[in-house]
Amino acid sequence: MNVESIKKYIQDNPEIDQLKKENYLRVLSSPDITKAEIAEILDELEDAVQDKIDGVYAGAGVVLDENDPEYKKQYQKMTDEIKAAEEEFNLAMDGIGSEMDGIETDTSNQLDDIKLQSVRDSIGG
Amino acid sequence: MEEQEAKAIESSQVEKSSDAGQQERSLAEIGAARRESVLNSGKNMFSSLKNKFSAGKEWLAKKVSTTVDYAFAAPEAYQRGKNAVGEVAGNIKNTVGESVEDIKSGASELRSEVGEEIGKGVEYVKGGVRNAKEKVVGGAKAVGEIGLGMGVAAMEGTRNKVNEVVTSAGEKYNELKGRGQAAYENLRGRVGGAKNKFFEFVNAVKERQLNERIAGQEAKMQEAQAEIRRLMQKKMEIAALRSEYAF
Repeated sequence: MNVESIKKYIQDNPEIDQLKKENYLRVLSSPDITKAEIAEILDELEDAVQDKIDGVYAGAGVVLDENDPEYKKQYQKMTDEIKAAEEEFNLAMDGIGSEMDGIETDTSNQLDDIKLQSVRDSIGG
Repeated sequence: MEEQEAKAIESSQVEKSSDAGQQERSLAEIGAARRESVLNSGKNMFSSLKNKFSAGKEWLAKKVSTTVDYAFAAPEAYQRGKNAVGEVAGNIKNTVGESVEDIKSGASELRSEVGEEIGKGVEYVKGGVRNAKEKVVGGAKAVGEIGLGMGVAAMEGTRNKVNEVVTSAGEKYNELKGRGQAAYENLRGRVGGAKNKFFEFVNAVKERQLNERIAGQEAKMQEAQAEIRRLMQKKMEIAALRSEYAF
């Protein structure tokens, strides 16, 4: 699915609030839109549909028993995966932060060396 | 939060919130809040990293500017040196000029007193002084040119070195930014995937229940239909009895 087809889906969907529609289309029209931003919009669209599905089921009197062992198992599986993803993300971001600090220090040192050499050169040292 | 979730999963379907109002939350609501919180926190972390990248690039630009200022300061110093040499050369020229004037006026006096031969000697001296003056000025210019050349070369060398460092740092920053972006996308993908799997299960169970309800309703209706048919049969039997006895 490319951005254009997402835009068309949003434009042609009468169930999406007009204000949200405009906001989504504005973000999707940005030339430097990222995959994560597209994913955010798709998540929101999907959540809205899921809310409606839940509402229809509730209206039909279908409500899940959250004490059901299978339900609990599936729920636990989901929260475990979220936790693992979060931990992996935090670890990756910490690593990136540290590497960035390292780049700053290295670059600063290299530029200081160049400056020093430039001064030496100018005084014929 | 995680402990609350664990307790909620283990003991019952609901969690008593510690907030005022003692609102009960279902596991689905707790899960949705957890997903939202993880994704928001991830988004904030990534935004903060992007801000750090911007700050890093601003810092780099400032640092580079300071370094390059030094590189430019060098040829400026040479230029100042050249000007100073030129000034000295000018002073020498003036001094020499003044000396020539003195000699000229002296020569004029001598000429009148001693005659033409001495005048020729003065002209010879003047020529020698002129040559000396030109050599001094030429030498000063040459010193200045060499100095300026050295300054420009130093500036170019520094600029190249700075460019190398900046390019390398920029590439590293971009690589890290790409990795940050990928980590955030991975987080969204995994959380979204986990959520979708869960809702696939939930939706499937609900669909089954709905089908069971429909089937249940249908069976009830069919039961009612059968019962009505049975009762209608009774009615027909009664009607037959009625006609038999001519009531």
